[in-house]
Amino acid sequence: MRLIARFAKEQKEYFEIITIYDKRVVKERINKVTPALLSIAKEYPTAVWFERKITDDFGIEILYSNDKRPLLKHEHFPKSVYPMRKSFSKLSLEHDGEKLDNSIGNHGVILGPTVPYHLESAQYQLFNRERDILHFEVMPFYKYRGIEKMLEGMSLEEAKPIVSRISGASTIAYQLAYLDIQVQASKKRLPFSLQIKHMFFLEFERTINHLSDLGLMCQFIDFKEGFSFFMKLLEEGRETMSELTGDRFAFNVIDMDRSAIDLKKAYGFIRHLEKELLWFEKWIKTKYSFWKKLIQQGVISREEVLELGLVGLVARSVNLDLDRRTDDKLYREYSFVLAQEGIGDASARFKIRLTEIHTSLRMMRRVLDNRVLPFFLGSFNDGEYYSYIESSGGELMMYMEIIDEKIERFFVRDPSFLNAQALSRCVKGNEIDTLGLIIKSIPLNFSANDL
Amino acid sequence: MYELFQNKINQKKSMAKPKADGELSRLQRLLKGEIKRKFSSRLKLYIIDAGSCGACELELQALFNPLYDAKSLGLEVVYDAREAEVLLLTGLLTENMYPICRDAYEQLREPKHVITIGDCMMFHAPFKDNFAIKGQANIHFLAERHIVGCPPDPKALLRGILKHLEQLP
Repeated sequence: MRLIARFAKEQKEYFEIITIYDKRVVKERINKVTPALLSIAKEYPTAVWFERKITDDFGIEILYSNDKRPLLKHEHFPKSVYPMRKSFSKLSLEHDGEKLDNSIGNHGVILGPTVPYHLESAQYQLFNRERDILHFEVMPFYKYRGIEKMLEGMSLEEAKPIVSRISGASTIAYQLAYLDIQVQASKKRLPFSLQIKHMFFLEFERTINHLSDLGLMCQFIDFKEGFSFFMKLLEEGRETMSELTGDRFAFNVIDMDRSAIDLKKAYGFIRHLEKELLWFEKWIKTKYSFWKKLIQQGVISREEVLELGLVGLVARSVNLDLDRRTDDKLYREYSFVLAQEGIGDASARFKIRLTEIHTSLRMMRRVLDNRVLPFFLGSFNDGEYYSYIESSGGELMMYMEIIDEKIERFFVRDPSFLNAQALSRCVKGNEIDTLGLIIKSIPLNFSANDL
Repeated sequence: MYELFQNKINQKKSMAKPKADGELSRLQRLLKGEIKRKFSSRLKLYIIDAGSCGACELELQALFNPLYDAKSLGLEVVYDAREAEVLLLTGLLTENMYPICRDAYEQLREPKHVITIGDCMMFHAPFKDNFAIKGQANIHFLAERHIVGCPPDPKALLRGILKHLEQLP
C-alpha cells in the first residue's frame, strides 16, 4: 500500500487521525486527555513529516518515532501553542522566549531561507566532506501562513480565492481539486464541455511549469542557450495564458463558464511550441556535453521511490506508472500516453518533462471546443470529500469536511510534501555543485507545501 | 550538409532574442540609464519571500528571461543582505519569516531601500488575518515604494523599480 496523507482532526470528544492509503482510508480515535499516536514511520518513512506536523498542529505525541523535531513551528514559535485545536482562536502569537530547534545537529551547514536554488523561502541543512554531500535535508514551513486554520468556518465561495492562491505555480491544479470537492458535495456531474476545458488549462499549466523547470535545470548546468530557449518559451506561454484567461497565472479560470477558448491564439501557441521543441530535441540529441552533466546526477532507485511512496515525475523516472491521469476516463478518451523513464536521475526527469509537454500539447489541441451553455452547482451536501489531481509536480490530494455549507476541516497534501523528503536520498554522494540541478530536477513547491 | 545548414538557420531563429515592444524598450532604456548613473551600472537586489504563493517570485524570475533581460540592465540578485542596495519583499509577512526580514533589514547598507511587491504585502490579496501572519509590511518596515498587483507582471516590476530610482538624488 502507498501512503498518500496522514493528518488529524478535532472532534468534540476525541481527536481523529485520518490516514489515506491508495487503497483505503483508515480513521483512528485518540483521547483528548493524553493524546498519543503510534508512529507508522518504520513502514512508511514519509509518514515522519505528517506525524511531526500532527504534533505541531494538535499537540498529539507520536510514540516510537525517531524524529520528534518540530516541523512547522520555527524557532520563535511558542512551544505550547497548538494552532489547529478548536480552542485556539487568537489572531496573534505571544512568544514565550524559548527557542525551538529543528536542525539535526550543530555540524551541518544551514542554507537559507534565502537560497540561490529558487526564490521561494526554504531552509536546508547540509552535511558535507569537502565537496561531497553526506546528508542533505529540507527544513520546510518557513512561510507557514496558517491556511488550514484560516479556511475553517468559511463558506466555500469565500474560501475559493484563497485556495486558488495557495500556490502560484499550481493555481489551476488547486482550483481543480477544490472544484472537484464542490462537485462531489453538490452531487452533480460536470458537463463534458467544462471537464475538457478544465483539462485544457491543467495541461497548459503543466506545460508552463515544465518549461520553467527545464530552463532552470539548463541554468544550473551552465547551458545558457538552453536557459534562454526555455525562458523565452515560458514567457510566450504566460502571455498566451494571459490572453486566454486575462491573467498570467489564471487565478480564476476554473469556473462554470463554458465560453469558448480563443481558438486562434491557443492553436497558434501550441503549433509554435511543438515546432520549437522538436527543433530543440533534435539539436540536443547529440550534444553529449549536455547529457553528461545530467546523467547519474541525483539518482533515486525504484526501491527507494516505492519505500518513500514518492509521486509525480520522480516516480515516473523509475518506470512506475503512477499518474492519476491514467485512470481518468476523460484522459483515456483524449489518448493520454504515460511518459516513463528508467534510470531515475536528472536526465530521466529532464526527458520526461519534454515528453509530457508533447503529450499535453497533443491533448490541448484536441480539446479546443466552442460550446456555450450555463451550468450551476447548486447547494453543497454535508460530508467528507477527497480529491486527487495530477498536478505538474505529481499527485495532489485535497480533503474537505463540509458542515452547513461551511468548511469544517481543510487539508491538502502537495506532491512536494512527499518528494521533498526524497532529496536527502537523491543528493547523497553527489558533489555540492550539483545541488541546484538536483533540487530543480525534483518539482518542489514550497508555497503549496508550507500552507 | 543541407540538413546541417538548415539546422543552423533554425538555431538562429529559435535562439533569437525576442523583440521588446515600445513601452518595454523605453522602460529598459530609462532603467539602464538610472542604474548606470546612480549605482555604477549594478543594482544589487536581495529578495525575500516573506510568505507568498510563489507567483511574485516567478514574475521576478521572469525579469531575467531574454525578453526583459534585467541582467543586461544592471540588475543582479544577491544572497547576502549586506551586499544589497535594495531589499525586495514579497508575500504575506508571516510570523516565521518576520525575524528573517527584520535581520535582513538591519543588515542593509545605509541608505536602506525597501520595495514591497504584490497585494499580499499590503493585505489586499484575499487572505484573512490570522496567528501565522505578522501583518501589513509597511507597519514593520519603512518601505519607500510598493508595487501593486497579484502578482505584478514583469513590466510593472520594472516600472516600479524605475520610479523608485528616479526619485533618488
